[in-house]
Amino acid sequence: MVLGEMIYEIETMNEEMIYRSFFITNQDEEPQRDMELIVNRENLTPVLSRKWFEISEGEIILETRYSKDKAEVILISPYGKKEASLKVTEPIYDMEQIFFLPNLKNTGNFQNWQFSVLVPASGMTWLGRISKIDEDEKSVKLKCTLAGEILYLKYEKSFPYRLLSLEAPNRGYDLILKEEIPNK
Amino acid sequence: MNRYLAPIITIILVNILFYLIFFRKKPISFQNWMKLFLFPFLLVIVIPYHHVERILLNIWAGFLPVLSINTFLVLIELILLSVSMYFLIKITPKRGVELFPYFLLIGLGLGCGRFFRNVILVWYHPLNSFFGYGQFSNFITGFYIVQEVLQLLIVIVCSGYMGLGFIRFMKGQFSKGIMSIIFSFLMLEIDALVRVLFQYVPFFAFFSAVYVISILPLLFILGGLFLWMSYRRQEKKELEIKKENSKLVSGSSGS
Repeated sequence: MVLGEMIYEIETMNEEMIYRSFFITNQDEEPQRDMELIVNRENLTPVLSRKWFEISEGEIILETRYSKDKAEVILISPYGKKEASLKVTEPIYDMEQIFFLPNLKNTGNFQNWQFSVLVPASGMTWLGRISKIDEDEKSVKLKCTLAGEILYLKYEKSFPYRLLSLEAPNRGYDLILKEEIPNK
Repeated sequence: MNRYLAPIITIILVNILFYLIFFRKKPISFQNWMKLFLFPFLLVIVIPYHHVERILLNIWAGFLPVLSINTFLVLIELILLSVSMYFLIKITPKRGVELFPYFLLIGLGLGCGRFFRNVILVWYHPLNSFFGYGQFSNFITGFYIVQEVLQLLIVIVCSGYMGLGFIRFMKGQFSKGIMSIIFSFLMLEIDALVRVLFQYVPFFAFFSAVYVISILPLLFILGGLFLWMSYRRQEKKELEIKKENSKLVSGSSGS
């Protein structure tokens, strides 16, 4: 069953890359904002991340501004504004960034890797791990674990190393690149 | 100070209610109450659960590993209860079912410690207004307090089973004692299992919607009811043994 569509936009600037994602559910026709992420092109460290959540009372915006040794988290909800400053040690990545990391990180050689990830919503830092579990001529399948959850990520082996599918068995959904969905 | 007021008031109210229910007829001194209450209360606060949990979650992922981590934390809590009960048995001359309310008091101490730790940890997180909407955290608001109070009650029931197990061991009823300790484990393990199920198995995601309003109350009511029946049965048995002993004593003194 198709639940909806995710749309990703990637904009390259001089020193930064901007990622924007939107989603369309079966019920809603207008794409809704999901997140916006600005990362440094050179070292892939996050500069800013924004996430939008819809609740019955309105909208929640979670914004995180990264600097060298801290992350400023600003939460705007119908109940008011909250700010928190979290100490971080470099290198740290944003929660929203992890799907883009393996393909940006290398040149087709998807290596086993572990890294720190900040989950702005809880203010907690977790250790993410990525390991290669399978590959064929065209694609490579990685297993990503974060905060007790497992994700399976499948990437193209050749440039631009697109994410072909994301399986989230603990959440009960898969994200599949539209042109990869087999015709019925 | 104001921010600690709500959990402290809740803990005081629960203590007063507990005293009225279990110690109204046979009062306990304030000093003893504090000793028995504070020992498990401080133990559960001092032990860095969430750090242990986080370290383990950084290593393992998926349903079975996370369930194992939760089971490990349940076992730590049962060990804390056992240590507190051993402490009680050492300091009091009371034996048999007389000890039962004191075992429940230990459960109250541990449950309140857990409540205090969780509420302070989540409620006073700088981003707390987000909690309740996030997929990463528990509910905050009155709903969260209800969840924590129900979990506190479940710890008291769990402690009751554990205490009954200890009483039965002291009376030489080993198989019944082991059964009581298994029930004690199950009280906490079922709660842990349900939480892991709705977080890690999509088919059981609906559990999250009914967790506070039906699963926790049901676990407490059924567990509490069965504990009460087991306690009454044990009390009756001890009374019968006492009667038989007194008959034997009076018979032997008569002859």
